[in-house]
Amino acid sequence: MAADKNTIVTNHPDGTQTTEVVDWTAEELAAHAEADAKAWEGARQAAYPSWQDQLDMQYWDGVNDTTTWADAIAKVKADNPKGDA
Amino acid sequence: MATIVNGSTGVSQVQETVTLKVISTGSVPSLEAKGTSGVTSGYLKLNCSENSHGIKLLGPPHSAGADYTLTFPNNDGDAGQFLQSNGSGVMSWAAAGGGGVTYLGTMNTTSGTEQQIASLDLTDVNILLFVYNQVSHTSGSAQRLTLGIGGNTLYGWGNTISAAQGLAGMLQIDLRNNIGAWEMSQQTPITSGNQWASSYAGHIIYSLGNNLRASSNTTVKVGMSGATFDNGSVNVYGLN
Repeated sequence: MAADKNTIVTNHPDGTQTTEVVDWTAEELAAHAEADAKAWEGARQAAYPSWQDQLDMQYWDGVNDTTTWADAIAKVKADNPKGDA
Repeated sequence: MATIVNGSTGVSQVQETVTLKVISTGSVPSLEAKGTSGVTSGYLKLNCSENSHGIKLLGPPHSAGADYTLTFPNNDGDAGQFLQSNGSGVMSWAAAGGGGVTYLGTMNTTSGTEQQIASLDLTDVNILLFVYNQVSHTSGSAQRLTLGIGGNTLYGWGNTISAAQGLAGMLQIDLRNNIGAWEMSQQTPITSGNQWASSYAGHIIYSLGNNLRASSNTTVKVGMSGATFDNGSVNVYGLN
């Protein structure tokens, strides 16, 4: 979720720093809403095992007749449902 | 004026208080600093006011076979300019040549929702380089990056970054065609030792809408979908 206000920290050429707190613009609010709507994608991406680990899971599932890989993917999807920011 | 003349070879010594004004002709120099065989090329020495220090203007060695004329510029040039030759020994003042990397500033992404650097002169910059150093945010949900150059903002580029992750990597934008690319990793921030994390890559077409290389007063900014920064920094460099 975006912060309530936009806190802009500006670094000036003379080394000084100023901070300004302003309302988000309509364009920024729209961008934030779009980002929030897609946040589940990022959450899933962060939660999925690496592709190396996934391939390893699939190999051993084939050898052992287990569903470790499918279970792991399903859990990530369940924990991070679409549209849930 | 006391001048000592050494026979037919010319002046060998001039009294120190004498000011010389000698004339050059089309074929004869006003002064000729002769060398000594096997010892040194000819040189002129310019002393300090106390005559305790001095610099030498020394000719090339005999082995160079050098016979050329350097003609100085008609004026004293502008600040920061360098002397250049036209290939025939005629010198002029010129700006420093291209190349090199200029450090433009750092945005400490430890606070605020947007960090920016103001008043950047990008007129000589061909490539703008952003180096992200473990940038993270406090938002409860994963967020994408925001990039602003000269008042134009690109929202939501790159992979999403969760609050627990830090983002490290580079984004470079070619200001001549507004196309960029990035290589980033997003992992739990590395806090000690020598560690590594996997990375992601992608490219950007950035619709600047104007020619930033024509501006000497440009602001660049970074954000993360309005989330509040809580770690890291972004260094900005210009490749000339």
